[in-house]
This record gives sequence, structure tokens and C-alpha cells, in this order.
Amino acid sequence: MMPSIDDRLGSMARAVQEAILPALDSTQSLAIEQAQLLLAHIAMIRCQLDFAPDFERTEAAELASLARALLQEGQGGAMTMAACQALNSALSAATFDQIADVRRTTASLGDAIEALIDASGTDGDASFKEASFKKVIDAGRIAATRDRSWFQPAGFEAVDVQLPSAASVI
Amino acid sequence: MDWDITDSEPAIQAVLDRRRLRKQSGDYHPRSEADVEARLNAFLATEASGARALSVQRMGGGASKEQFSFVIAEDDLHAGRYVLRMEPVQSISESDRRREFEILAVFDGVVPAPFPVWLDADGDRLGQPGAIMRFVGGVTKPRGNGATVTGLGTILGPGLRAQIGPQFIDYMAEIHRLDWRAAHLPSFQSPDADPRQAARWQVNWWARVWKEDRVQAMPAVALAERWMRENLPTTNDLVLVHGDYRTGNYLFDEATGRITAILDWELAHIGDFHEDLAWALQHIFGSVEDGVHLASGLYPRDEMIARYEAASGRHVDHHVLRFYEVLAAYKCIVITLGTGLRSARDHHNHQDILLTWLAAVGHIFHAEICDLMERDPRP
Repeated sequence: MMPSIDDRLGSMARAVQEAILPALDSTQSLAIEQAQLLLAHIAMIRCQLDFAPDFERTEAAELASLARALLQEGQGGAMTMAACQALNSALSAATFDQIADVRRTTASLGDAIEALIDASGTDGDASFKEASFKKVIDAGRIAATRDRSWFQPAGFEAVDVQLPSAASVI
Repeated sequence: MDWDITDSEPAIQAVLDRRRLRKQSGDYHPRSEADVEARLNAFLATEASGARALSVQRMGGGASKEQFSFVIAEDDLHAGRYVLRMEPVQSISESDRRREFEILAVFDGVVPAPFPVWLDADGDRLGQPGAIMRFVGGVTKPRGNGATVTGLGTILGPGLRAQIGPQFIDYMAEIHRLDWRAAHLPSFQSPDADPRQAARWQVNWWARVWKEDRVQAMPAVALAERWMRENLPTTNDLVLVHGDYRTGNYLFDEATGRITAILDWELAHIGDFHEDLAWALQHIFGSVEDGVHLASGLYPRDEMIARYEAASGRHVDHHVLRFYEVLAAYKCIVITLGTGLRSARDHHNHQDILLTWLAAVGHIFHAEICDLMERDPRP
């Protein structure tokens, strides 16, 4: 691919840094702040670009895994069982071929899992609530670590936090 | 299990109902200084005859509201420097300028805070809902802290910590001591129908926002809502809660360490004092100095709790505190990964690029909320 996406992002960053920012009057605080954020976003995207499809596939696969685990335990009244059925349908329809499929899968599984957790609050069996608590927490920790590694270049992590590399969690 | 999702403060319901309508109004465009100046002067012509806004200038930062400073010339009755806070179509956290105005007026002379002067609650005259306050000098972080987001990882250093820390605790206790029943707060309602209503109102407020704003589901967020409904604490000790009390939301004089103003009262409400303490204790609002994590950059966690108990005369219940820490992390996820991203995606804010940058913070709260729900709350 010529020019590469990275080269194009690099030239965009230079335009902001070398031409746009110096042209801004120092009183234009919003414009300056936004141009600086634009530079920061471009730098982070350049670090992430090569890994992005793998990241999204990992995210979708982990949601599918959580969905299967929850369905194994799903017990409760009418609302919980209807939500289980909806989640099962979403899982059956999940596809991972193209990146657009992956995104649709992430969205539909996430919505169906949230709906099941909501429903279980109304009429889920105690055993399901206990099991789902553990499974969702465990999955949440994995997802949070992956996302935090991914966005570590944003600089929000405390100095004492050690995270794995983004490449190692996808 | 408390799954009554309809029970929330009527004024907050109205704010969220209004927001739902405003979100249909299309893209929001940042206001130009010239437009703001023209609107301001038309507004002042009716509110303060003869006064003219000069040197209107956009203020930096502000992921929630558009802020402009201006002056009224010395020869006018209203001479001085002011700050105009205006709402975009969708703030990162939706609130009501009238409530903010009322709360600032009530705290005048009680704790340092900007004095509210004029209000256009509906935005009929300023173009968007807005309130005008007296300008207060000060900084939110010491010089030399670099380009950090205000309130995240602020390093105060031992000198400023020693000066600011006691004031921070005393003002929090003072806010909670306010006799809100006797105060003029017509836009506030109190959650006194049953002892769990204070907590339930907060869960219902933020759960509604999540359901309306989320751009991608998060199972742990749904779990946190379920957990909170199963663990609603009781209280009969209702106080005025600031709602966003932390380092970054006060101004101080860097030379003396004196707090000059407590800021960002827009989420104030009547509730449980543990809520403000839990907010101030959130890990991300702290800093690490000499290998020690300091809540709000001021004190180690246990010391902040002990100092609050001493200053307020209140006993901190660690189970209740844990509930409000979960709520705090939940709110931060809703704000950053829910409303923030939705506002940016729908072009309803003047700071889309800042909101998509800040969203990364939400994943830290994601990890924190998982830990908090599992943690033994006992000290």
C-alpha cells in the first residue's frame, strides 16, 4: 500500500505540528488544546494500527466465551430464561469473518449479556446470580487489562501500575 | 433486590428528560467569542443596565461546560471579572444551571466558592443555559505538573499537601454540616421516603444515563448495577453532597496553599455523606508520592477517612463506604465511556476530541469496579 497508512498519519501529524499549531494565536486556547490532542491521538493510533483487527477479534471472542459460560448456568424465572434464549440466539448468529461481522457480534453479544444480567436481578436463581457474579468479574478483569494496555499511551495510568504490552493481550 | 427504576429525584428526571429532547437538535458548534459577547451584552442590558462585557475570552479545559471569562469596567456598579458557564447540547455530565446557581448562593460565606450573579436557566437569552459567577483566582494544580488532565495524578508535594489537606477535609465536613432543610434550595428534593431512597436515587440516575448513552455494552457495568440494587445502604442522616469533591475541583493560591474556591457543584444533591468521601478516595484521583498512594493527592486512604471522622464527628461505615465507592466507579464509567463517547460520536459537545481521549480513563474504573465488588470492605 503506497502511501502506507502510517506514512499518511505521519504527514498529518507534521502538518499539525509544523504548520497549524504555529499559525494559531496564543489566545486561541480551545484550538491549541484540540490541535495538541489531535497530535496525541495520531501518535496513539500509529502505535495501535497494526494490532487493531486482532484486538477487536479478541474482544468479540472473549464476549462469546462469557456468553457460553453464562448460558451453562442460566436459571431463573420467565425474564431470566427469556434473556437466556435471546443470548443463545445472539451467540448462534455470531460471525467473525469480516471485521464488520466482528463488530456486530461484539455489539449483539454485549447487549444480550447486559440484558441477561439485568433480568437476573429480577428473577434469577440465587445459584445463577452467584455464578454470574464470578464469571462477569473474571471476564471484566481480563477485558479491563486488555483495554488499559491498549490505551496506556494516553498516560492516565499511575506510575506504580504495571501492565502487559498491548500485543501480548490480544 | 431493589429494582424500582422509576424512583429518582424529580428534578434530575426533568434534567434527563430535557436532555433527551436536546439530543435531537443536531450537531453542536463551539460558540465564538464574538457571539458570546453579543449575547452577553444583550443579556446584561436587561439584568444590569449600563454594564458591558469586555475582554470576553474562552477559558481552557472544561470537558463539561463551555466557559468564558469577561470583565465589566471599573466605572460600573457591577465592575469586576466574571465567568460564564454555558451548556453544550450534551455535557459529559448533564446538570441544571439553576441547581448550580442555588447551591453556590447557599454556600456563599460558608465555604469558599464562586459567587453566582446572573442566571439564564433555559438559555433563552444566552443561546444555551448559562450562569455567571464572580471570577476567583487560583490554580487547580501546581505549575510543573505538566499537561495532565486536571485532577488526575496531580502531584502537590509535601508543602502544599500540608497546607491544603486540612482545608480539604474541613470544607468537606462543612458542606455536610449545612442545614439544607433551612436553606433556600427550591430545585432540590430530599430522598426521605425510606432509608434506602438516597442510594436508590443515585443508582437510578446513573443507570438511566448508562442505558441511554452507552455506545457499547459492558457486562461488568450491568453487574455493578445489579450488585448496587442488592446492596443499597440505609441512611437517616441526609446531608448536602457536593457530588464531585476531589483535587482538581478546587482552586488554590500556590504561594500560600489557601483554597480560594471549591468548584464544580453541578452534581450536588441531598444524600449520604459517604458519597463525597468515596469519590475523593477513588484511586485515579490520587497520586503516588514516595511510593505511597495518596487519595486526592493528599492523604493515604485510612488517614483521609480518620481525618474526615475527626473533622465531621461522623462515623464512617466501611460497608456503606464500599457501596459508594462502587457507585463512584460506576458513575465514572458512565461519564467517560457512556455519555462522553456518545456526545463525541453524535457531535453534541464542543470537546469531542477531548472526550474520546478521556474515555481511556473508563477502563481503569472498569478494573476498579471489579475489584471493589469483590473486596472485603473491612479496614
